[in-house]
Amino acid sequence: MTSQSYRLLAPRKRARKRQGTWQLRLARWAGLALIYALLTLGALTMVFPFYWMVSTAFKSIQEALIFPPTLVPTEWLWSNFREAWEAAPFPRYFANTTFMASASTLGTLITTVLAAYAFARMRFFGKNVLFILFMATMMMPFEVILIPNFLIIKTLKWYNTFLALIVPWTASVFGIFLLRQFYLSLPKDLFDAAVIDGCSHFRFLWNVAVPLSVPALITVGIFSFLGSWNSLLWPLIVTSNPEMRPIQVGLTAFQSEAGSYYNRMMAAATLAVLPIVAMFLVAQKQFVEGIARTGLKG
Amino acid sequence: MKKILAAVLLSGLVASLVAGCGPTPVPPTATPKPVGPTATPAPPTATPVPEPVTVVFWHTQTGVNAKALDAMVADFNATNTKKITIKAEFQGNYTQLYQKILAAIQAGSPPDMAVAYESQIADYMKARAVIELDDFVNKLPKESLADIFSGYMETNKFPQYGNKMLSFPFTKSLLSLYYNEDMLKEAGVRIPTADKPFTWDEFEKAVMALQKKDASGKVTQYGLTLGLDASTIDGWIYSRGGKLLKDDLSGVAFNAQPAYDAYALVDRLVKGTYAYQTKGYDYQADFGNKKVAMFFGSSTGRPFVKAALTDKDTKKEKFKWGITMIPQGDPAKAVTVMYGANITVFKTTPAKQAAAWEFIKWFTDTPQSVKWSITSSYMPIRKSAAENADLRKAWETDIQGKQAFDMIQYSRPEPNVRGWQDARTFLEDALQSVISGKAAPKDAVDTAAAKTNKAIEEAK
Repeated sequence: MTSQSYRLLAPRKRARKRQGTWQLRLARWAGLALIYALLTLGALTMVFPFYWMVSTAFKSIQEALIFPPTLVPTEWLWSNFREAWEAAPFPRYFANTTFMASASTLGTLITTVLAAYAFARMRFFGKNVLFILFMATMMMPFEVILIPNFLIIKTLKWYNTFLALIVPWTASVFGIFLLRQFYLSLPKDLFDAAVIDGCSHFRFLWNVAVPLSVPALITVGIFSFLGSWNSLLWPLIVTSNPEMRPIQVGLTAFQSEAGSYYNRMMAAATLAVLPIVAMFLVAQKQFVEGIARTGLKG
Repeated sequence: MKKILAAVLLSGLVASLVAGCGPTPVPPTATPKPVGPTATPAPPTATPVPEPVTVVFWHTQTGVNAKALDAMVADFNATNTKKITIKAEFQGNYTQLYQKILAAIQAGSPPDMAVAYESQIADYMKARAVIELDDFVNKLPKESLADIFSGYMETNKFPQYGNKMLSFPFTKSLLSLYYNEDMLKEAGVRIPTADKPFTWDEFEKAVMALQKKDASGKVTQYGLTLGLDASTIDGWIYSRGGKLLKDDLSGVAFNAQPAYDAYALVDRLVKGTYAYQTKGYDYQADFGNKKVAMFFGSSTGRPFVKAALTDKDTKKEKFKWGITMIPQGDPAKAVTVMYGANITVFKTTPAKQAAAWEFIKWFTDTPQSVKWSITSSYMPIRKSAAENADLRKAWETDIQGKQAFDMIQYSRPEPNVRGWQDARTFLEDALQSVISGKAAPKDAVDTAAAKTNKAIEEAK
């Protein structure tokens, strides 16, 4: 943007005042430097908590507590990771969380695609009212629906089963909204052409709409996966054994009512976010694209 | 029959295969749990055998404490003669556990036994979900009952429910004053003891004397740091001879001179930069980093304080420190506040209720109480613990543990009436408004009192 506007202005200025060019170039460099400085500052602000987590993970508890904090651990305690790993049944927690997050993400994607398409492209009685009702559920705080949801789980006899951990999270109103906006933006001609060729709704959805919406689907998928990966209260409420518990429960092992072991907690937190970071790096391009295409910026 | 046999054989085969190909060490919690009554076959004896019974126990313990608790539960399950199996299940922190229990009561499936604070128990009892333990407790031998610190019993008797015992002491601790002995000596301040605590006037002078400034006038050492904790405020009021509630429990009694004085002291100390506020457990780190000389805290925090004041290289304590009685209005009538949770039994079947009590009785007996206390830093609930060899040995390195134990007899419970949970928030809000200079001490206390009276009225 900036370089373009410079290019537009430059010829006129050059004609008027030749010696102005180096000043202009300087101004351009200064502008760029400022932008980069601001971006670097922003990036550092974002990275610092993450860096603090990883560096604290290597410190002794004494070093983790000193102020001002040491930026680089004076002694690298890899043993923190082993101790953290042994403080709770982490292998089991990891397996549970991976299963729970994958299953609920898959479920979310299926329901989201179907519902979003219906709201965007199909005509049926009460469509708008239903959509408003859907949206209204987004406004409800989790605490309010906690007890009713628990009662449903108990009635269905799903307590302490994976069903309780997965099924309630296989629908995402946010995802439906996001994808509906995307499907609304698809040209109507595309649909008409497909219908003329004999496509049913489902065929059009499966062969045309879904492939076009992969970036948006990845966004929905990542949000759903992250939500499951980070959940704590719901799994605590609907399960009772360590065999059924997710990773976040493991992180509570380092907190007590009188204090916290920050170093080991951070070691465990580092291990817990690794898969998420890896996943994000792999899906990064689609993720950014997905947000940009649907016109949502956050 | 054949089918069953085949299934058993097959599952055994699968199990052995799975076990065989898994070289990773399995953590103890991942091993299959002993399950319900059907899994434990009755031994063929002629004498009448009690029916096996399983008791589900919800708790909040994490880390080493959780492991110690699990080991003790396993010990009980293996040694009790009544075929009782306790299933200890971690359910998050106290708030999460409380939420889950409320939901479970609604669903008609509470646990058989759970850890809870007094105000939470009062809420469970409003739904008539917990049982009175008096019949069980009264069967304890007289000397056994007398051995339990009276304050610990008192806190579990609920005046709103006919003074019945709705719970039993479980994870107890108390409010104490932590001090940096080296700093106190350097500032020429007397070292307080449980027998001879500071008076409040003496304490104020000490906090002022402990402040240090550099050449530019910046404070480099504070006398005191304050967190927002209602129990600490309650302790200040008690120790100045004040009362929290009217004797007939109809409303608050803290809107009086003791609380006004307590809040005014905070106001003076903060305004003079002798004291400052910390969030969360930051006071532990600040104390360890020699930023501050004293703070009020739970006796259970001492392993964390110890970690914070141990040098990262030499692994030695950076200074001499101790915990002692909080300052007093009248040192001859010293009193502090009791912290910690209790264990409560839910209305289930008589067999389960009796089994739950068996566990509580066993767990709170001196040997177990001591064992639990050594790992968890909670206080033993019995006086006879002081004679226990293991505890005496632990006290050799945990000097502050002994200092805390000696104060138990002076610790007094906080109110356990419905609505008091809200009072805690109001008292903390009032302190915050005084610390941030938004309200005068007396006004802040009066506001908290008015709000609490309303909450107590509404909770009736």
